[in-house]
This record gives sequence, structure tokens and C-alpha cells, in this order.
Amino acid sequence: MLAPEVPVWALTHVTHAALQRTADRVGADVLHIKGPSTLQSLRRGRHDSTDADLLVRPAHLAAFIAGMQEDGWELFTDFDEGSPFGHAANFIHPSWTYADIHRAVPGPLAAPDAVFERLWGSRMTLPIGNRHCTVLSLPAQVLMQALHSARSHGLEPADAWALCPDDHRDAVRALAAELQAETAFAAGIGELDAHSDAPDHALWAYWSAPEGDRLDEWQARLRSASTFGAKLSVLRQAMRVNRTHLRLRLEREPSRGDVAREQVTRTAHAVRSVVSHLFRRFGRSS
Amino acid sequence: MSRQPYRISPELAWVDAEDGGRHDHVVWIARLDTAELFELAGSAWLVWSLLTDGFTDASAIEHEIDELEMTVDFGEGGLDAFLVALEAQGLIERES
Repeated sequence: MLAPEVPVWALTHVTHAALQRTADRVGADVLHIKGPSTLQSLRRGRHDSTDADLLVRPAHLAAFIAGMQEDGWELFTDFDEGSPFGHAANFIHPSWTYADIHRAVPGPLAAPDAVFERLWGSRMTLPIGNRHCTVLSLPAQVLMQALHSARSHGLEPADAWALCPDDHRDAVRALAAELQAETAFAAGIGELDAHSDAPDHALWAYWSAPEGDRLDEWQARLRSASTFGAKLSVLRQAMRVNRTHLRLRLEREPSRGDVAREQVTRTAHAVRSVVSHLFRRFGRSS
Repeated sequence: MSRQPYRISPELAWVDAEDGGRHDHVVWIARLDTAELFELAGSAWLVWSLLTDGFTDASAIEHEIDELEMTVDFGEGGLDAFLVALEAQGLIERES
């Protein structure tokens, strides 16, 4: 009767349920996003998720993560290392599949706590693994999937928007405006050209276009950073060695020597990227 | 003689293959309190499906299987032994 091998898509369902149990136990507000928390009518094809994604109310994040750790979860990739947006941390568990815990949504310019409050206010419940889980409203599900598409370098189409009933589309656009996520949303649904004057246009032009090199990414992030402090932070991140990525590549904990060698490699790569860009620019202008 | 009624244990999550668009007769069950995972297939899947549909004791389950005109082999101990095994794993509990 014991099942040593559960298909990962099925494990994703029960992982959502396990995380909801943790949230209920510690009194944390969480919203299940993506995968089985997306209405069937907004998805093409069957469930094939490999991890469970949750957005956590920022004020409840510490308590929720403490609760997860009490329930056997271990941090795998921290917020600052998981993605360039620093929005999610990755956790592992001996029984469940990966959990992606989001403290923010990439896209909205509104503050993360205001975004969560707005999404929480229109939440609904959906059975996942036969447990009641708190999920996004239909317009918020469409918006969330479009925002995900916007940062996929064109690899993941905005299916939810394509499948969204016409009478809900105005609500999706209104929600994007309310969360100040119009530029990212437009990038997700192929309307980015209408936002060429937006301060975050360069960022979303980079993330929604086919993948370029790292310098393209850092240039876009630098141009979209609104303050001097933010620009400085981008520059620091650009040159910092990501220990988690290094650990995954080496399949062991990196030593100080590994980190130093990686730093040299990273710097050399940055120089090569700059030179390559200069040649491209020279080639265009000549 | 009336037989012991059961209910699904409260700390469970489960997902049927059909929930994921598959056509196998399999259900995966998780005990959320212990993080244990179980798989029930074939006739065990059928019994679980009936339990979750509200058929709470062995007589009701057997009657429904007859209604479905199915023949199910529950092994040496029969359906009662299988329900006891589910109870021992903490997947169902006796109605008080």
C-alpha cells in the first residue's frame, strides 16, 4: 500500500494541501498560485506541474516559513538567489515536491503588501488534493499567468488571457492598472509597444523577448531601477557570485576557492559581454 | 448484523489519477500529519472512491459494487480486512 513513487504532478496537488495545512496551523494568509490552483477553464491541457507555488502575505512570511520548517521543510534556494526578481524562495521536503514561496509578484509597481491585500480581498477557495485551499479570483489568475508569461522570454504563452471569457477581460485590465502592473501585463499579452514611455518598459522588453545575454538583462534592470540606491544594488548583484547556482553546478558546497574562481570567471564573462555589445553597436552604426 | 461504519481521517489529502486528466484507476493519498504517502489501485481504488462518495461501511460498499455489476476479489480477509488495514494506516477511522 505504501507508494514509493508518486507522479510529480500528483505530488504537487498534495503538496499544496500540506502547505495549506501549515498556513492554517500558524495562521498565515497564503494564496496558492499556478498549477492546480488555476481553474481548468484557463488552462490548456492537463496538469503537469512540478512544484507548488504560494504567495504569502509579507507580514506573515516569517511565521509561515518557521511553520514550514517545523513541518520538515528545508530552505533550498533563498529569495536573493532564486531569481533575478528576488521574489521567491525554494524549499524541499522528504515527502513532498518543491515549494516555491513567493513574497512578491514580479510585475506590479505597487508595494508587495498592497498587492497581496488586493488579491486576498478577492480570493476564493478551491479543493486541491481534496483540501480547501485559498486561491486567486479568476481575473487575478489570468493576470498572474500573463505576468509569468511576461518574464518567460516568449517561451510560455499567456494561455489564461487567451482563454479568458470576454466579460472578464475588463476586470483583468482593471486589476493590472490597480496594481500598477500595466507594463508587465502588456508584455505578457503582446501589447508592450503601447507602453514604450513606461519606466519599466526596458525591463519587460528584455524579459518578454527571446533570451539575450546577461548584459542585456543587467542593462534592462539598471534602466528600470528608479533610484540611485536601486541602481547601485543592481550593480552589486550583477557582480556577485550566486552560491546556490554554483552549488547546483558543482553538486557540493562551494569552497572559498570555488567562489573566488567563479568571481574571476564572472568578471571575465562580463568583460566579454561588454566587448561583444560594443562590436554589435559599432556594427549597427557603421 | 450491522457492520462498523468508517469515515475518512481528517488529516488527509488525496488525488485521483482522473484529477490530473489520466485514466488509470489509481489514487494517491497523503497523511498530512505524518507526511506518509500511499497508493491504492484497482479494487483498492474502487473501495476508496466509494468511501469518499459516502458509502461508509462494508455492507454499503458491497451493495454498491453489486449494483455496479462488478466482481471484486478482496483477498483472504475480504473487504472487512481491507478496511481494517486502511484504519491501521490511519487513512480511515471508525465513526464514534
